[in-house]
Amino acid sequence: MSEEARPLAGAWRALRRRPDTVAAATVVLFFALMAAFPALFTSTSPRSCPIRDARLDPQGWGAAHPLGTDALGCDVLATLVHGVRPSLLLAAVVVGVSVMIGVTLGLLAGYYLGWVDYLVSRAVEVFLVVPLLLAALLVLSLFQGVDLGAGTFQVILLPAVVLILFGWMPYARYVRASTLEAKNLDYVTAARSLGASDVRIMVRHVLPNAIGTVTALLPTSVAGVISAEAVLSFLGIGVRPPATSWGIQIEQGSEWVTGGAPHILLAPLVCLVATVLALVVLGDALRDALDPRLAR
Amino acid sequence: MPEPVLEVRQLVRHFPVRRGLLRRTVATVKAVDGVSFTLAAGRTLGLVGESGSGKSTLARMLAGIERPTAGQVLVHGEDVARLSRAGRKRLRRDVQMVFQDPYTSLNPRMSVGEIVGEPFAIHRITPAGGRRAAVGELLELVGLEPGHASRYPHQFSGGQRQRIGIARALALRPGILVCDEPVSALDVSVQGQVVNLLQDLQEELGLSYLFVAHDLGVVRHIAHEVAVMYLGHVVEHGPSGDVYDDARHPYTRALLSAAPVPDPAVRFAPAGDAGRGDGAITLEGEPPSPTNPPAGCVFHTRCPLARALGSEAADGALAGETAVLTGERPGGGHHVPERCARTAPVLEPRAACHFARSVPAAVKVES
Repeated sequence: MSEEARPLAGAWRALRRRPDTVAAATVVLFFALMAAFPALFTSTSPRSCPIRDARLDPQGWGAAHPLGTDALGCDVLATLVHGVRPSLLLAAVVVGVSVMIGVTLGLLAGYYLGWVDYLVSRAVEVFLVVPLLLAALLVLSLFQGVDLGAGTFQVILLPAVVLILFGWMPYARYVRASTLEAKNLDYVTAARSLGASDVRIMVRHVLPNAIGTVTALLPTSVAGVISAEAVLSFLGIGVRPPATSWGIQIEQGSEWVTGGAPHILLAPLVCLVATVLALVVLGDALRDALDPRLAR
Repeated sequence: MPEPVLEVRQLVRHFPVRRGLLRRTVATVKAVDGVSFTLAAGRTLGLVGESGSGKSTLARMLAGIERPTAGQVLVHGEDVARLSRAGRKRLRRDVQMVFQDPYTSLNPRMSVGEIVGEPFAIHRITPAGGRRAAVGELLELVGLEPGHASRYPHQFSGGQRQRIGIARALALRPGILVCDEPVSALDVSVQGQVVNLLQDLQEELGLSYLFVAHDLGVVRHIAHEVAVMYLGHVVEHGPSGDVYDDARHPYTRALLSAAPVPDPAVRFAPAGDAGRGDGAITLEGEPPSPTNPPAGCVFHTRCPLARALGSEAADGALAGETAVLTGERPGGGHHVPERCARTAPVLEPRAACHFARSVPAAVKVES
């Protein structure tokens, strides 16, 4: 239906008019391209690590090691480029699935209250009080002998499970709170008096007006996932070598910040910050564009 | 009297107040406590009363948003509670609601076309000529343009939004419109336009209205009959003219005297000043809590008449009085609780004779 398509067309028009949005979209596209075709950005393998070349300073474009080498002599640029795919895929999978779980449970809890709310709220509290690392160790021991394979998805599967398991609660809480607020508004009552089903009321009336807080949370969650993955790698359940990720790089680089090789940390950190900032800007723009009250 | 389209019999809505770990019911808020009336086709029943008197709860029960604790709602003679799910959905189409606040009653993220067309989507109806055309017709019916369908609610003024709300309520061609304070959130200049629109629609479509309001002037303008609510009960019910010009119940009189008159000279004229107004009747105290309404006549704690009767009230004679409207309205005439009707001659002079301080003076006038 054309009536359904119009808000999206309007959203696109509003997006284009903002230069910061265009810049942010460019950054995100750049890293997406890097994830899809790492060979375009480096011809060095991240696995060739001659130890005598360890901790070389950045040499500039065109040299053998444009961004220098890390503590083991691996090329920083190559590691960075090959680490994009698992890092971004992990962030996308974790945030996406946690949002889906959290939003669904929060919406059901806030809408139906009663025993549904009781179960969801207690579950949220239980998962919030279990320390992430303790739970991670538990999952680690459960999956210790399991060989999942070496594909990108298999590499991130374990950290994704752990991070999703302990990452959905904030979304459930926020959505529950804003559902409680939205469901008593007159337009929800109006839909109910017209005979609308619960699903229709939740999807068409409550959710669009309750999702705002979650969209504001998303970009920073992406950063949180990437850095949490670094901690998990340290425990051995993150992205496992020989695969690399930004998290691992940041983790390893932080040892050498004061040891004369800050570039090992700075290179992935700059990329992470750029990605998160771009997502923040995109998230803001998307929220404004989808809100008809702010459309011009 | 024409066939009633809506009949309410002894309708009750109690809200339990739960406390403590075990969520035990410690009290009950008696929001609506035994209300009966009928509404004929093409007529308007005005429902007035102060905040907390149960007007809105009653309206929400009729629109199917709240479930009654007890009592019956009959639409075209069919008991809503006894019907199957499908039957209820069908009947629900016949009773639609117009809300008080036009700023919260329209989903800000839906276009006007989606809002007005939603009833069709919910009931999976494709109106003759398509949904888009039907939405355009509805918008024209309420005085908007069909082209407004692609706009969003925030682009409209309060009065226009209320028209959109009315268009949505009319989409399923209901016979009865429950209007819960439909103009009280609007500017006075816009109120008139919306009230006139409602009257035009009534003429054109033969609608029946239950018009809830606390603005007595608006109700007098639009309603054929008026019911006055106090603490969940209807205390006086009759044709609009009778209730306004010859109120029998002391509460109705106090309510009418509290309505602002746009002329200070009249408004603050001393009581009994002939020809200049009745003077304001000031009720003392607050309405009692609906969790623990007074026994007998719910109004006797504040009733100037009860106080004038003095010792009789102190003896508790009034407490045993069922000074509440029950059952059918005999002959469709002016109906007040029996006690008030019986005692009314004492109060007959138009001045506020039952106003505590002026009782002796009024008695003198009468003798």
